[in-house]
Order: sequence, then C-alpha cells, then structure tokens
Amino acid sequence: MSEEREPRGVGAVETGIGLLHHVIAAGGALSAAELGARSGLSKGQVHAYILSLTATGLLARDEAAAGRYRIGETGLRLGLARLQRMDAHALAMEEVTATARDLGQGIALAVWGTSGPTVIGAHPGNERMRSSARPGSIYSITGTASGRVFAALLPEAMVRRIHEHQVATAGEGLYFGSCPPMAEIGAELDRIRAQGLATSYSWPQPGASAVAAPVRNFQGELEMVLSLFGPDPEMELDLSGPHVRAAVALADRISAKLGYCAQALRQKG
Amino acid sequence: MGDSRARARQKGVQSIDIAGRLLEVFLQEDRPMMLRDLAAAADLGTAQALAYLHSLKRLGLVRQVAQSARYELAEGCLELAGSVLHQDPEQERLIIAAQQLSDETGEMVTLDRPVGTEVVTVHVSQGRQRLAIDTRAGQVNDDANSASAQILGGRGGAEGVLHCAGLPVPHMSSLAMGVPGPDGLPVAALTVIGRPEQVTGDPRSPLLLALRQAVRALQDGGGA
Repeated sequence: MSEEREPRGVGAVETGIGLLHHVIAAGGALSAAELGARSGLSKGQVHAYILSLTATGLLARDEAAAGRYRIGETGLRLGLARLQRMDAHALAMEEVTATARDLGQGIALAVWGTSGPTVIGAHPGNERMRSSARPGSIYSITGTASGRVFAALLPEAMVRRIHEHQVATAGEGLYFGSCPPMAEIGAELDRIRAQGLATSYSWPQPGASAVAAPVRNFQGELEMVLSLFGPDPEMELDLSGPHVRAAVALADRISAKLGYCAQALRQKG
Repeated sequence: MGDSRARARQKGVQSIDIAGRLLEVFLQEDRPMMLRDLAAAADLGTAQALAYLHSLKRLGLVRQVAQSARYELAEGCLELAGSVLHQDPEQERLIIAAQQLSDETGEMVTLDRPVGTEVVTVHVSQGRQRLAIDTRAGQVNDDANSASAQILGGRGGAEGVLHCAGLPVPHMSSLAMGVPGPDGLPVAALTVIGRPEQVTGDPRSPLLLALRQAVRALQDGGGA
C-alpha cells in the first residue's frame, strides 16, 4: 500500500514551521532579524516564511513588542483542540504498559479523587507478585509512597480534610496502607519535595517496594502519580538506580505528552 | 527533499499555506481522520497530503493513532498553545489574575476566552478543594453549560456580571464577569465555580467583590 511507504516530506514545511520552535525556545517574541540569526535563513527567506506563517495564524506580529513575532492564534487553537480531544489516562496507560513490559516490574497510576489517591490503572509487569491495589482502590495519603507524593505536592488545604477523614475511618479497611498522622512524616514530605519522588521498602505491603513519581499536566498541576513496584530483593531504591531512574523517566515522558513544559510555565513558586 | 530554503519566495511560501490548510482540517474535524479524507478536505492528492503529513509528524504537530491509519493532532501542538498562554504578557496577566482570585477565595476559577468561533477554557485554578467535576483547559463551552459563554456571547447581566445556579452542573453554581478589552467589549471571562451556598448571586458577597476587584485590577493594569 502506498500509505505504508516512507514519504519524503516537504522540506519548506519543516524549515518554515521549524521557525516556530525558535520562538518557543526564545521564551518570548522574536524579530525577523533574530529569527534569521537563529535559523540561519536569509532575510528574504525569513520574510517569505513570516508572510505565510502569519497568514495561517501560526505566527502573529505583536505591535506591543516592537513588531516582534509570537506564536499566533492558530497555535493556541491547535493546542486547545489537542487538549480537548486527548485522553490523558489512556495516553498514560499506553506508556505504563510499554514500560512495565520492558522492565518487568508492575506500575500503577493514581489520581487525586474525592476520597484521596485513587488507582485508575495498573500493569503487573512480568511479576507474579500479588498486589492489593487495583483500579478503584484508594491509597492512604500518609501510608503509601504515592499518597505521600500527593501530600507533598498538592496544596495543604486540599489534602488536609481528606487525610483527616482517612485517619478517622482508618479501621474500616477502606484504604491501601495505614494512615499515620501527617505530623509524623513532615521531614519525609520535605525530602519528597526536594527529590521529586518517594520510595517505600517493604511497606505498606510486606515484601514489596515502590518508587512513586509525579506526572504533571499542561498547567503544571499534579495530574497523577505513578508507582513502580516489585519484590524487595529486585527493587533498587537508590536515587541513581535503574528503577528510580525508570520511574522518573516514565513520569517525565507522560508529563510531556500531557503538555507539561516547565520552561514555558516558568517557576511560579 | 531538495533545497527547501530556495523555495522561499517573496510572496510567501506556498507549502506553508498548504500545511496550514491541512492543520485547519484537523481543527474542524474533532476525530482522527483517514489520509484520503484529510486529502479531500484540504483539496490535495493523497500522495501530496501524505508528504505534508510526514513533515507535520516530524514537527510533532500530527501523529498517527496507534494501530490505525488515522491521523490526529499531537503533543507538539500543546507547546504552541503553551507559548501563547505563558510567553505573551497579556495572556499571562489573565492567568495570574485567575490564579490569584482562586487563592484568595479558595474556589475554582476558570479563565475562558473566544478562540476561533468557540468559547474555550484556557486555564483552571482548582481552589482549595478539588470539585467532583472535570473542568480543564481545552474545554469548549456553550450557553447550556457555561456562564462565561453567556458573558462572552453578550448575555451578561448588570455590569457584565452573571450568576448561574446549576451551572456547569446541577449541584454547582457559577459567577462570571467579563474582562473588557480596549473597546469595552469582553475579551475574556473569569468564572468562579463552587457549591451554591458559597457562590451566590448576592451583590454584597465577598466572592463578587473579589471578582470585581480582579477584573478592575486587570483593567487598571492596561486591560486584557
């Protein structure tokens, strides 16, 4: 089938639309001369590309920025259309499944629900290890690695009320993991904020260890937390070890697919 | 591939215009599309369309849906939108205003604005509690589910403020206010969403005062 042949592409499209990447990388509007300097194109070529890119709305002239060029309204429409149509959880599970198969370890995804961290999907990897968490399970906020990532990175007011409810109902078997008071893990939460991840060795499930890492979305918010888990003897919890690096790389990859861009969002504290 | 740079002409670059046409087709159709349908909609031959799609894939703007012959917009588009929202000082001011209003009131605040022919949510600040509704950037709004859409459609109440009980869902309420542009017409809307007992239509409510103050601060700072 002709559709399966590797096509040649259109060089002028890649060169022209590639100019948009220079604008994004610059972090602000660029003049035609600056676009030329960054791309290596001549003044005439840049002018021609700018004419067409502004006509399509991919680039816009910003009079407030001395006539420099920004990404235009069509760029916003394309991104918002992608956000609207994107199934973030399905995208994340695609990546989780591929990584779990490669690594052989189990991986679970949890989102912040109205009762706390709620598992939305899991892949067992190649392990035959029994895991008590399944889609719909609710993690303890303070007694699981994933729960602690949520506790460390979400606004305190958002976490407190649900944590208090978990503590009050801890004896009812509703949550995966015990529910120690938040005050007992204050130093651990600081460490999670500094390292950007949490680990657990042989708890809350005896014999199982986990690395939990945050996945962020287009707005930079915590969208979900993934945890990579396996039997204690197999899991290396050292920060430079393969399992920690794999969990962080997976979280970063999913975050990028969800549109998280630390550079564009800047640091807002 | 040839010397693509030599193709740049004084009157623009035709292939950029064609790529723009293809991207416009993706915007108009909200489902993944087959090559032949894309080509027909963009008035291109299939071989020509395939060449363009290959380049758009390399640029990260289009992707082929896994295990299918259909194409859809890809995550590279999110970078473009992120650039508009976070590198344009005017857009950034609007987002910061929404965030500050949410921080101050503790409620969910959305920033909505016309994008193309639709009113789209471009930012959501969740507030102190995550509500049991899925409101996120990229959501398209209409009069039936959004106070902002009504405001931006010129159906705002007195002083451009609108209180809607039961929107966006029956057990929630919304309080929206337009952000006027230089000509006085609303170019965006800030909407507070929360429980009905918190988000009321009371003209003296602290929430409404905070909303008015946020919009006034945007105007005083040079407008949207």
